[in-house]
Amino acid sequence: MADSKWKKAGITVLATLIIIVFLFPVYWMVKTSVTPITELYNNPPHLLPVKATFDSYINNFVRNQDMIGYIGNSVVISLGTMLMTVVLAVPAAYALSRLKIKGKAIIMILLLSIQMLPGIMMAMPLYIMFSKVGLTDNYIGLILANLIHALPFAVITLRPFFLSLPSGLEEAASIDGCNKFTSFTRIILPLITPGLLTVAVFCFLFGWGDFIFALTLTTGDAVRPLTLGLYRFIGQYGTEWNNLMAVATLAALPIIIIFVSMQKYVVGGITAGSMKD
Amino acid sequence: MKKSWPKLILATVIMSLVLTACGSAENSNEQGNAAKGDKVTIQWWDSMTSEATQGALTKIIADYETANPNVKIERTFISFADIKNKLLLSSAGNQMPDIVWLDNPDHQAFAAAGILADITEEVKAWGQADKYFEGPWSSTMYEGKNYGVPIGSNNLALYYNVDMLKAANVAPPKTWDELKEAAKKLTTKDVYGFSMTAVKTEEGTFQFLPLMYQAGSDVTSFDSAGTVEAASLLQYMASNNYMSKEVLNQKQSDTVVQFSTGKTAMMINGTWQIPLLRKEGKVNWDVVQLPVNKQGGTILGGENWAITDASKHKDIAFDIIKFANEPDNLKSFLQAAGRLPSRADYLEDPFWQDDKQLKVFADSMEVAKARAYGPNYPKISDSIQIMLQQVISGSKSPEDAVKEAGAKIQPILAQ
Amino acid sequence: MKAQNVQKGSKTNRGGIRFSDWNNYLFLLPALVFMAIFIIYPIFYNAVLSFKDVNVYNLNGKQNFVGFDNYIKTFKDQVFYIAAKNSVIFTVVSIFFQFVIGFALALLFNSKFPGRNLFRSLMLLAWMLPVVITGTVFQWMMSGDYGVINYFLQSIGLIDQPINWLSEGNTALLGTIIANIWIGIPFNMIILLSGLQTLPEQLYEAAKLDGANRLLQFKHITLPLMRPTILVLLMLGIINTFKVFDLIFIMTAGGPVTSSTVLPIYAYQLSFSMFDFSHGASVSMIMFVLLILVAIVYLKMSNKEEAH
Repeated sequence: MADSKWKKAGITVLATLIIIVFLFPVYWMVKTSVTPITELYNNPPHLLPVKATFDSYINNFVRNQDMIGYIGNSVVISLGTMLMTVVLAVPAAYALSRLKIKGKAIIMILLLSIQMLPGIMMAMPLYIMFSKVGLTDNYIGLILANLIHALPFAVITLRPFFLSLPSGLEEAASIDGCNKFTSFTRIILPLITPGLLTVAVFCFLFGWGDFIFALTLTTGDAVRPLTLGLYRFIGQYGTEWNNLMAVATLAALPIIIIFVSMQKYVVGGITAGSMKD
Repeated sequence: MKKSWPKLILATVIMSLVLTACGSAENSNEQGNAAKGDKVTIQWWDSMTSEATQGALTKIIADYETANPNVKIERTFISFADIKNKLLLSSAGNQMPDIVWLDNPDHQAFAAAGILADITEEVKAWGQADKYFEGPWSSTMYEGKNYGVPIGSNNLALYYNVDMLKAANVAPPKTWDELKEAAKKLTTKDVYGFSMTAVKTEEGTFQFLPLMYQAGSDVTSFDSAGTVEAASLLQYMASNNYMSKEVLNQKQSDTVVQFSTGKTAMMINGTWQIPLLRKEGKVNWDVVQLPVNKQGGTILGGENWAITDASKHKDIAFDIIKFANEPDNLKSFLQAAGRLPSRADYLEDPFWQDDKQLKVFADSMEVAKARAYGPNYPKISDSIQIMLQQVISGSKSPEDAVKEAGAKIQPILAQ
Repeated sequence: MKAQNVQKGSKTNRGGIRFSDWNNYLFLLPALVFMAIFIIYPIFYNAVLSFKDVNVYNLNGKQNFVGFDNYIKTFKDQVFYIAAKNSVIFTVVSIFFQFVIGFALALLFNSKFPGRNLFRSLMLLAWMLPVVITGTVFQWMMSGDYGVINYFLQSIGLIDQPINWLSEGNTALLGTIIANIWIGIPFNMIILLSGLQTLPEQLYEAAKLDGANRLLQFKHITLPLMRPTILVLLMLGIINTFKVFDLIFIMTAGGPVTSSTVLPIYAYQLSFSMFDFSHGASVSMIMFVLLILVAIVYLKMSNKEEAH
C-alpha cells in the first residue's frame, strides 16, 4: 500500500515536470510580453521577468485600440461560424446516421475529403466568387468560408452521438404521434446535447483560429479578426517581441477562458469526433 | 413552433442568400448615386505604418474632405508585404480601390497588367512633370505612357553607432575594405559589427542591388564578376559572424531595432529610419554614404501614387493627388515619414538641406539608381532573393548562387 | 459499405412510415446546398483554372485553355520535388514524434494520480492556441541570437555555437517540425488515452497472474487492442499535417530559399508571389488528388474497425 502511495507521488512529480517543460512556450510568451525592450536582447536571457513593465499592453490596447476592434470581429465571426454550423450540421448528421439515404457512403467520403482540403486551395476561387456578390470584407463571407472546414467536422463528430442512441426511438415517438420532424426536435435533439455543446465549442475555436481565409478575404480593418491583427503586428513590429507577445497573450486569453469553462466538451469532442466514424 | 424546424433551416439558407443579394444591391446603389453627383466615396490604399506618418496622411485626407464636402475618402492600411497580392486579388474580383500607393519597382508590372489607369493627359495638363527627378519619374512610365506620380523617395546609407566606433578606434568606413575591417573590429560577444536585411521580399533585393552597383555590375549583366564580389562580401560577413545569419528573417524595420538597442554597430538602412531613431533610438548614432568599391552608389526607393483602371472617379482621384502634392501638404507628410521629395524644387527646402544627417540622403538623390527593369522585375527580384538566401545561409557558394540566379534572370530580361 | 446502418435505418422507418423517404433528404438538403455552392464549385473552379493560363497579365483579359501545360510545368519544376520531399519529411517526422511522445504521455496519464485531469487539460492548451500565436512564439524562442532554446541547449552543453534555427537551410524545416510536434502531442495523447481507458482491466490482471511483465503486457495486450485506434490516429495525422500552412507561413514562409517549402506553401507562392494562378492551381489539384486517396484509405480502415 505504501509502495503505491510513493508511486503515485512519483508520477505526480513526473507529470508536473512534464507540464512545466511542455507549457514553457506559453510562459515565455507571457514573460516576454512584460519585458522592456532594453532587456529583450539580453544574452543570456533572463528566465524570470526583470524590470517587468506593462508598457507593451498599454501600447497595444490603450493607446492603440485597433486590437479591441479585432477581438470584437473575432467574436462575431466565431459565434457566426458556430451558429451556422450547428444549424446546417445537426440535421445532416441526423439524416446520415438514422435515416434512409441513398449514397451515404459517397457523402461521407466527400465530407472527409473536404475536411482535408488545404485552405489555400479554396482561397483564390472563393475570393473571386465572394467579390462578385460583395462578400469580401464581410462577416458573412468569412463565416461561410470557415464553414468549409467546420461543417464536415461537425457532421462527422455528431454522427456517432446519433448512432449511439437506441434504434427504436423514432418508432416509439411515432406511436406517441410524432412525425419525423417533431420526433427529431423533441426526442432526439435533447438527447445529444453533449454532442451539440462539443461541436459548438469546436466551431467557435475554428472561427477564432482561422488565418488563411482572413488573410485572403479581408482587406480593411472593418472585419479583420484577431489572428490577422496579430499578423499585421508581425509585419509592423518585426522583432519587437515584447509588443508581439503582448498581442499574442491577449489573443490567447479568450481561448484559455473558454477552454477552462468548457474543457469537458473539448476533451469529449476530440475523442468522439475522430475515433468513431 | 417546433414543427417549423426544417422550415427554419430553409429560411436561414434563403435569408443568407437574400442578405447576399442585398449586399450587392446596396453596392450598385451606391455607385448609382455617385454617378448622379451626390456624395462620392474614394477608396485609398497605402502601407504607411508609423503613427507620425499616418497622422500626416489623415490630415491631408481630412483637409481635402473639408475643401470638397461631396467627397469622402476611405483610407485602408495594407501591409507592405501584402499590398501587391491584395491589388491583384481585387483586380480579379473587381473590387479595386481608386487610389493606391505602389512601391516604385512594382509600378511597371502593374501598369503592364492593365490594372492602372493611363493618366498621361492629366499629367500633361497638370504640367509639373519636369520638376521631378529622372529616377522616380521613370518608374511611373510604361511604354511611353504615364501611370502615376511619385510620392516621395528614399535611398540607403550606412548608419553607425558613434560610441562603439570610437571605443574600437574605427573611423566610419569609406571603402569596402574599410567596411570589412570595421565589421571585424566592431564584432564582440554581444554585438554584431554589421547588419543589413536579406529577407525574402523586395526589401532584400533593395539592399543587395547597391552592393552590385558598387562592384560594377547590374541586373542586366547579372552573371558577372561584380555580382559575385558583392555576394562574396555578404558571405564574408555572415561566415565570420560579423553579421548575424538572422538577417535572412529580419526586415529593415527589424535591423533598426537591433541597431537602436545597441546590438549591431553598423547597418545599411534607409532614409525613413531617421525620425524613428531620433524619437526612440537608445544609442548615439550618425550616418554616412555607403562605402565605395569600384564606384560609389546607392539605390532609389520610394512610393508612387497610381489610379486604378477600374476606378469610376479618375478625375476626382487625380484631383486628390494634385491636392496632396501641394507643397505644404506633401512636405509635412514627407518630413513625418522620413522620405525625401522626389522633385528637385521641394528638395531645396532647408528642412533637408540644413540637416546634416538628412543631407547625406538628399545628396544621393541625383545618383541613386532606380529599379527600372521592366514589368518582369518581380520575377527577377525573386531570383535575387533566393540567391541572397543561398549565399548567406551558406548553402551555395557565391559563384554557384550567382550563376544559378543569372541563368534564371537572363531569359526574363530577354522577354 | 454501411450494411449495419442501412439496416438500422430501414428498421426505424418500418414502424411509422407516414412520410415518404424523400423527406429524409430534407434534413440533408441545407448542408448539401451549402457544400455545392461553397465547396464543390470552388474546387471545380480551381480545376478549370489549372487547365488555363491565368496570370497577372490576363486576369481580366483573354484566357486560354492550355491543356496539361501547367501540370507538365509543375512536374518539370525542381522546386515541386523539393516541396513534395519536404512535405513528406514534415508529415512523417511530425507524426512519428507526436505519436511516440503522445503515447508515452497517455500511458503515464492512464494511471491514477492526484491532479491528473487538471494536467491533461493543461496539455490541451497547446493544441487549442491559434496557430498564428504558436508560430510567433516559437519563432521568438528559436531566434538564433536571443532565442531561449539556444540558451537552454548551450547551458546543458548540447551545442557550443548558437543555432540559427530558422535562417539556416538545414535546420529551418526542423524548426517548424518541432513547433508542429508541440502542437500535435496533446491531440495524440488524448486520443490514445481514451483508447487505453476502454481496454478491459481483467486482461491485465490475468496477464499479471501469468507472470507477464509490463513490457510483455504492453506488447501483447495494449498494442494489439489499440491497433484500430492507432491506425485511425495515424491517418488523421497524415491528413492534418500534410495541409499545414499557417505555421510554416508565419515561422519561415518556406525559407531560407526552399528549405522549408512544403506543398501548400509552394502553391501559395506560385499563386500569390509569382502570380501564376494557373500553375498554383495545378499544384493544389495534385495535393487534392493525393488527399482524396488518403481519405479513401481512412474510410476503408474505419469501416473495418466498425465491422469488428
